[in-house]
Amino acid sequence: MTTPKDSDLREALRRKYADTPQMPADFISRMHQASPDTPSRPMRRWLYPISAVAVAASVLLLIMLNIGQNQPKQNPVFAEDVTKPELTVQATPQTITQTEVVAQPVATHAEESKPAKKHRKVQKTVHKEHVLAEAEQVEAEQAEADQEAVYLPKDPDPYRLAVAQAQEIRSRGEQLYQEVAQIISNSKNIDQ
Amino acid sequence: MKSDSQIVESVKSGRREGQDLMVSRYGQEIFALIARLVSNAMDAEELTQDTFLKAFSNIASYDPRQSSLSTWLCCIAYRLTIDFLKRRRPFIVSIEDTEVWQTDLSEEQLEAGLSTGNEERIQKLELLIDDLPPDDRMLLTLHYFENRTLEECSFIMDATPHALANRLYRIRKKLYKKLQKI
Repeated sequence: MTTPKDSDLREALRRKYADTPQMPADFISRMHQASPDTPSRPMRRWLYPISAVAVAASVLLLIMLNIGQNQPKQNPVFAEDVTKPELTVQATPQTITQTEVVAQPVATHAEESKPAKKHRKVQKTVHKEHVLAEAEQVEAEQAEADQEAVYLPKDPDPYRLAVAQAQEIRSRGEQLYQEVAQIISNSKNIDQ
Repeated sequence: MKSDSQIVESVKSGRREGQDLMVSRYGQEIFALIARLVSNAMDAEELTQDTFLKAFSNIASYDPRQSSLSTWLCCIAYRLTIDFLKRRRPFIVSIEDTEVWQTDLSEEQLEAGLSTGNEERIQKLELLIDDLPPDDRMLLTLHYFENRTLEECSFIMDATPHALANRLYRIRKKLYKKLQKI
């Protein structure tokens, strides 16, 4: 964009502003008087991000401490007794005792996550209640059986009895399912 | 002699020496720019103070890649002055002005009409300039009197160079038409 000549306009402006007033000589001192609060040193801006980080870290620490206090002291899943019991009870496929259930802890979680811990009676009770709730039907039938506990040396395969228990429960579940299906089919035949 | 960047750094660090140096270097330029628009010298001085105080408090926002320190200070001065003038005397657009804008003129006609060398026309132009709105007067002052480029003017007045070129054309056409009528 080229600047137009417009010499008349330029001349008019030159004449108009030829007597532009000068800035007062004491302008600077008067300006300082007018702004006495001007700080001699600026606010240290580099402190702002550091302060923000410190505040954030404090808040995070408080949150973590709060979470740590609210966590339960005992976790039945992870507070398993990993020490293998010296005495084990031999169990037949049809009989599963409460002691056997308790004596076969979930070694997977305990061994993987925690080192060996001292067995606590409270932890044992919590785990026993958890397993008993799931095997309630099996325990009722076990009471009728005649059991003779045989103490054997330390079982080298702690998972053997657990596998047997699982298989027993599965087979009994299938048997019950078939019985129920039979009952339903019989009732349908009767209706027809 | 300290450069503008050194002055800016000095002001950023809060040293009064840097502030004084900035005022002593650009104070007169800013004062003159404001005084050309504001009739009262006291008002011009007060606006100049406000300009530098605002510059000191916002020195962190100054970017030397966008403009020179002088242009940046002029930008602050312009905004403060325009706000001051609008509060003091709201400008009323006359019907005559709108009629002038409807007439189309070529660039050659305009340039010829504003470059006659006629003393009477120059004196009339001096009077007509006072009747212009503050924005238009500022544009003429910056571009014709201070010989600033349209790019610098666009930074100061916060408008695109193309918009300022159009505005400049309208101002010249208005002055030409009014000269023809007188």
